[in-house]
Amino acid sequence: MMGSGLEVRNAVVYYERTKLAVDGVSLDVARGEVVAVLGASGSGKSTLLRAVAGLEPLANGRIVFDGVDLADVEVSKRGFVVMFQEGQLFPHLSVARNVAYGIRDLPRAEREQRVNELLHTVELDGYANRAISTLSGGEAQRVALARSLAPNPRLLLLDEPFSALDRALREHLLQVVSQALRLTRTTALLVTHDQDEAFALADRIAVLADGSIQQIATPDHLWRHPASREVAEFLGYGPFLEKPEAKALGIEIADGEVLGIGPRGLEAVEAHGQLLPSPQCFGFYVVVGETRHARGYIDAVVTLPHGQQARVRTKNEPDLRLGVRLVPEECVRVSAGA
Amino acid sequence: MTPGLAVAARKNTGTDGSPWVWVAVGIVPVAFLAVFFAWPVAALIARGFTDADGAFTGAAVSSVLNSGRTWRIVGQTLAQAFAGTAVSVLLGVPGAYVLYRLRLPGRRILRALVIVPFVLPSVVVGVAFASLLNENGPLGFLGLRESFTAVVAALVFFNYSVVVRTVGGLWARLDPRTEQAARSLGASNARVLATVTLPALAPAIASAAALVFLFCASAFGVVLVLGGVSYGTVETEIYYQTTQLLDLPTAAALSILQLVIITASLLVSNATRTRNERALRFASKAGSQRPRASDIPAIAITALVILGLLLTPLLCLLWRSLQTQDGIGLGNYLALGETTDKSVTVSVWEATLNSLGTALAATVIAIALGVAVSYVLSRRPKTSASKLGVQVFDSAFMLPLGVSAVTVGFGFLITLNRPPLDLRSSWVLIPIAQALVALPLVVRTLLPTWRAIDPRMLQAAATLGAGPPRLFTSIEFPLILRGVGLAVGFAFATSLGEFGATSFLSRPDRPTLPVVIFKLISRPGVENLGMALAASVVLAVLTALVMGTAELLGQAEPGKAPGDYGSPGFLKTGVGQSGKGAR
Repeated sequence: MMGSGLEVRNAVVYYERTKLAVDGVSLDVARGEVVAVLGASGSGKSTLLRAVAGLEPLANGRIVFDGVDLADVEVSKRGFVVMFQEGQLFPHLSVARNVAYGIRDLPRAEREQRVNELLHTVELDGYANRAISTLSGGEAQRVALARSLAPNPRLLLLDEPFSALDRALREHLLQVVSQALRLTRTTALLVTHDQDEAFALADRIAVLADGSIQQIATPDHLWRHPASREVAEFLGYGPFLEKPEAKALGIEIADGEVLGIGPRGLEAVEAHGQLLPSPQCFGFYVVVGETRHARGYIDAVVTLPHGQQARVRTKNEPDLRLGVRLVPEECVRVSAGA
Repeated sequence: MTPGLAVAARKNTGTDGSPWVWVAVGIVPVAFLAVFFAWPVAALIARGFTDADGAFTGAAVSSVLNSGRTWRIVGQTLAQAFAGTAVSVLLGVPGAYVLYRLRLPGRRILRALVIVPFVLPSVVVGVAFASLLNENGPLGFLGLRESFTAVVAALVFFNYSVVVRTVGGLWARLDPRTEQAARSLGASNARVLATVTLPALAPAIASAAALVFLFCASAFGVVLVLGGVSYGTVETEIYYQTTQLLDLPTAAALSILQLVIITASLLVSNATRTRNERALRFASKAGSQRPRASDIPAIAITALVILGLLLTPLLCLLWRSLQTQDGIGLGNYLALGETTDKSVTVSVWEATLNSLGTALAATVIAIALGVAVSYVLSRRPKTSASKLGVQVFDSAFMLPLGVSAVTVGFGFLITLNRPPLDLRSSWVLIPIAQALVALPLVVRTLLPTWRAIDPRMLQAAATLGAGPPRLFTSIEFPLILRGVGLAVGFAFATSLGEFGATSFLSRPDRPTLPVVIFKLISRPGVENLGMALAASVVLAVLTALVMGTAELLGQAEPGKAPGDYGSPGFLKTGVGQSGKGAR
């Protein structure tokens, strides 16, 4: 795959000229691949994306596409299209003219056909002549997607594309985008703070913290083998147990490792006031703190024998004491770190 | 490594084009400002410090500074400006509340009505107040003709709308829930007003007051007509010294004094504008409430101002323009086609055509320059050097707002009348001077709209392949078009009524309408007064038509861009920009 697709090498970018936002990032996106940069707000992910687009100057490093250094290539000549969080549709143009903005060089008939094709892809048939002000948030975002895909960008840059939408809409749109990206074999770089967005769309995920990449891996590998305690924590693992604590609860880990408990790493194992026997590890009792009703289960905050707080799902409102066990395949071993 | 150097060494990125584009776009307005503003004003200052042989002397300046008359006039200028400002604010704040916060029937029409006085030609306002206060006018018994009160009333007439629109614009967008929270915590209406509402409005009030002071201190036409000899200001004194006594060094020295006064108030105005730019909590929808019993005083005051102060002089003007020696009729209007007096060599209709032609030329110049200036000012510079450059550029084009029109006209008179640039015999001098006066208004109207365009919208367009020229033609220009419509209205209305500079530059065979009106009113004779009244009505109607059309065009424009088009930027506060445009 050498020489094809995007190569970011040692990129250093300052935000507003003084704050170090991206600190030596190297990252590849192969042709047809979708890579997500996952990071908390302030991790430098948007600045990285803007630098790739040419909207922020690089202080150091290189951005190369298909072997060509882009240092002297203007934003409008890169063939990279950015799709922003709020869509940034042009309010004075119709839906069709928004979508056609990047393909004005095509002959008229071809252009119209392409617009209709794309509106079909984003499930907005018949919207061509609508005014932007009449669109709902989800519709506007789908028009923005169609507009971004229209010129067949050699790289699509997605900046938190669905964060502003409500949950149900977001999940539906993730499907639409995922489908559209596969269908058009678009190369894309997505930045997001939303783990679900990254896992749903990306072939590979790069976890960014404090301006540098902590780990790059496929979603599955990332989830199974987070490179550090920080990465595991960001993905939603926690609390973390030291070696003797883990051993006491039935799981052996190596020296210098900690055990991260996943979101479903703790399981209620109690029936009629008795701990159920388990083939892999022991059941043990925890003290129940606050509980909260969720859809179809109860979410309880419990205190583990060594004092850490964890969450566990139960069917019924638990007593003060609850029998639980660790689920080894829902926990990870990571290096204890500094 | 140092970020600044490394980054500066790289090619400029983003959607703003390179700084060289800004320089190229900005160079024409800068040259215009240098030739038609900086040079005349500098020459005027120099004239004040030189004697007849061209040698340096402080004689004229020191004799002006040592004259009791000068200080009496300076005192009067300041006293009238302070009084005009104080009354405008005291009446304008309740007005802002009633017109922008209360759900009253017809408040849209009332808001539009309130802006009319602001664009009315000063000569018309002077004539209207004079027609009300003259011995034989409806209020003649008050004996206020040529009085301090008359001048202040006319200044308030002009500037009431500045306070109402500036403060009201902010008040309408304040989140009412902040006040509701205070009320639910047990605060009385008066305490809510004093501890929550007024502090939130303070920046807008301060900025409106500074601006009104600036306008009052540089008022010319209205003072010339209403104040007579005894209530002159520095502005009218300059005019008097130049045109009546032909004492140019004294006039120049007075102009320097006026420059000092205006610069000081401009600095204060700028300081309040900067302080304004702080985050306030805005409601997504305008919060308005049904009037309550406690609102009756504010409603009463506002009704009294609108009826008594704004409508009465205009209706009186209209009524008296219909009074002829033979009773009520159109006689005065019919007489506008004739040239009755030797000093007025053209008919009023000819002067009207002159005015329209001149205003059209001035509008073209002001809009072309205003778009170029706004283009540069709406860039978002990244290096501190270019940031400073844009700031200096910004202040430079606000200067003509502060420097009095009389100074500009007088400066033209002494610089542009000989080689290298002899324009004395050319009529283009007048539209150029008018464009200079209108330019700050045009820029302040366009800029908020332009700055409200989300930079990321332009970035999205750039990544779709649009370079700076296409960004301008396909996105920026269509989005500011409504602002352009309103700016055209302001430029045209301002030029149509411009009197301060024009009165110096107008030639006898091609006078503009305000100049003819002033000549008619200065002359004795019932016919002359009648014609002046009728001509004032014509000018007022023309101005109102221009503004009304501009507002209508602005509202009819399809598509919707962020921002409020109801008033030029300086009639609003800077708060909206920093509050909303930043995202």
